[in-house]
Amino acid sequence: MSRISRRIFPVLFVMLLIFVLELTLQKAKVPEYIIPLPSKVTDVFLTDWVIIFQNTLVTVSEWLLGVFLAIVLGLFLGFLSFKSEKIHSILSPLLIVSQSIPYLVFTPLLMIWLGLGMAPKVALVVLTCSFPISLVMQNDLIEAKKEYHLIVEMLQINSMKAFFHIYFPYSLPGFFNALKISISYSFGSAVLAELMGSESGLGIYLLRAQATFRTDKVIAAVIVIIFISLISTFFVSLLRKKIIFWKTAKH
Amino acid sequence: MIKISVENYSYQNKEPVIKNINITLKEAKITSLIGASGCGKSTFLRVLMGMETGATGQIEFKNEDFSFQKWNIKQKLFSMVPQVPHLLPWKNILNNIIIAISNEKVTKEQKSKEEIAINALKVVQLENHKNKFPDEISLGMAQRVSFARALVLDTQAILLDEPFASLDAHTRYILQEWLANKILETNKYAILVTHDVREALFLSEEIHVLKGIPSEINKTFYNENRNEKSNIKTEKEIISLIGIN
Repeated sequence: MSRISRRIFPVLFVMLLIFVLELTLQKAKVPEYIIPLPSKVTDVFLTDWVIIFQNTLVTVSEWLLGVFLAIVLGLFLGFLSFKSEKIHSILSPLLIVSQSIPYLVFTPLLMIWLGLGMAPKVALVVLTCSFPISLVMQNDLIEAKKEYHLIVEMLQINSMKAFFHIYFPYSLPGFFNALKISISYSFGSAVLAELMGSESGLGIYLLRAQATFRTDKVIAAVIVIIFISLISTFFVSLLRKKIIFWKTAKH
Repeated sequence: MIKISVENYSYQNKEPVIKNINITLKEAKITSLIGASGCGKSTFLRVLMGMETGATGQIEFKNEDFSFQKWNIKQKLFSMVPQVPHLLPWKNILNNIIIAISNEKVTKEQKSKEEIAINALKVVQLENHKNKFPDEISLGMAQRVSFARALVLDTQAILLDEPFASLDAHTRYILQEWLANKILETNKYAILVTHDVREALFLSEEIHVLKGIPSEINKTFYNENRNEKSNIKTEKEIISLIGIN
C-alpha cells in the first residue's frame, strides 16, 4: 500500500462511519439533545465559527504562553539541578513526587489568587508542563555528563562549550519526548480550568452549550479540542524530527 | 625523550593502585604497556592525562621536570585515544575535530579552525568524509577520527588506550600498521596500553609487563625485530607472565 492510500483509507473509513451514523440517527429518531446528527454538528461549525474561533484563540493563547513559560522554567530547573549537586538532591525527589500530583485540583486555589482571567490557566499549564520537562532534562544532562565527561576532560573543553555542544544536544531527544506528552495533555487542562470559571475560552463555550442542552455545540467544541491536541503533538514530533536529525551511532 | 616515573598512586587515598612505573618514551616510537584486565593500565594513563591527581613522581621532558603533585587536567604533554571514540552523533566528522581545537591554537597558527581540522583529517586520510556523521562511518574510521582529534591538541605524546579492542580482526590489522606509520610520520611519542600480546609485539620495540597489586613493571621486553617469527617465544613468555586474573 502506498503512503498516500495508507493515510486516505482511515479518513474514508471515519467518513463512512459518520455517514452511517447520520442515516441510523435519522431513522431511529434519537432526540437531538442526546445524540445530534453529524450534519447538525457541521452546521454549528458553519454558523458559530466566529464565536468558536474567538474562544479557541483565548484558550490557545493561554496554553501557548503557558507552554512557553513551562519550557523556560523546565530548562532552567533542569540546568540548576545539573549544575549543583546540592540543588539536585533537593529538587530531584520533589520533581519525582510532582509527577503524581493531579494539578487540576489547584485550579480553584489559582482562581482565588489570580482571578478569572488568563493568569490561573497559564499557571496551570506551567505547572503541568514544566515539571516533566525539568525532570527529563535533569536526568538526561546528568547521563550526558556520565557518557561524555571523559571526552570533555580529555579535550580540555570548557564547561560552557561542553554544555552547549555536548550535554544539551544529548538531552534534546528526551526534552522533545517530555514536551510531546505534556503539550497535548496541558491543552485539556487549560480547557478544564476554564470550565471551573472563566470569562471566555473554549471551556466557557463548552459550559454554555452544555447548560442549554446544545449537544451539537458540545460535540463541536470537543472536536476542536481533540483537533488542537492532535495538531500540537504532530507539530512537536515534526520539530523533533527536524532538530534531532542524527542517529545515535555505536561509536 | 620523555621519562615518566610514577612512584605511587592510590585511588582516593586508599590502597595504592600503581607503584614504581618508570618508562622512557622515544620519539616516533610506540611503547607498550601490557597486563591483565584491571591491572591499572588505564589508571596509569589517567594519571598521565591529569585526570587522576595525587600521584607521586615526575615527568622529565627536554630538561624540564614536572612533578605529579602539580600535574592536572590542563597539562599539554599528553592526549588520548580512548577505547571507544565517543564521537558526538550530532556533529559531522569535521565538527567533531573542531570542538577539540582551542582558540589559542587558532591565534598561534593563524589558520581557521576548519583549516586545522581538515589538515588533521588529511593526516588520517579521511578528508573526503568530513561531512559525514558518526553513524555513517565504520568503527575503524571513527577510531581514526579519534586519532585526528588527539592530533589537533598538539601534545607531545599520544596515549592509546586499547584503541583496537573493539575492532574486527581485519580492520584491526590494517589500523595497527597504519597507526605505527602515523606515529612515525607525525614524530609523536606514544604509549599503547593493551592486553593483546601480539599487538604489542607487532607495534612496539619496548614492552613493559604490568603485574601485581599494586601494579608495577614486572619485566621489560626489548623487541627489536618487530614482526618476526622469533617473537612467538617472547609472546609465550609474556602470556605466561601475565597469567590468569
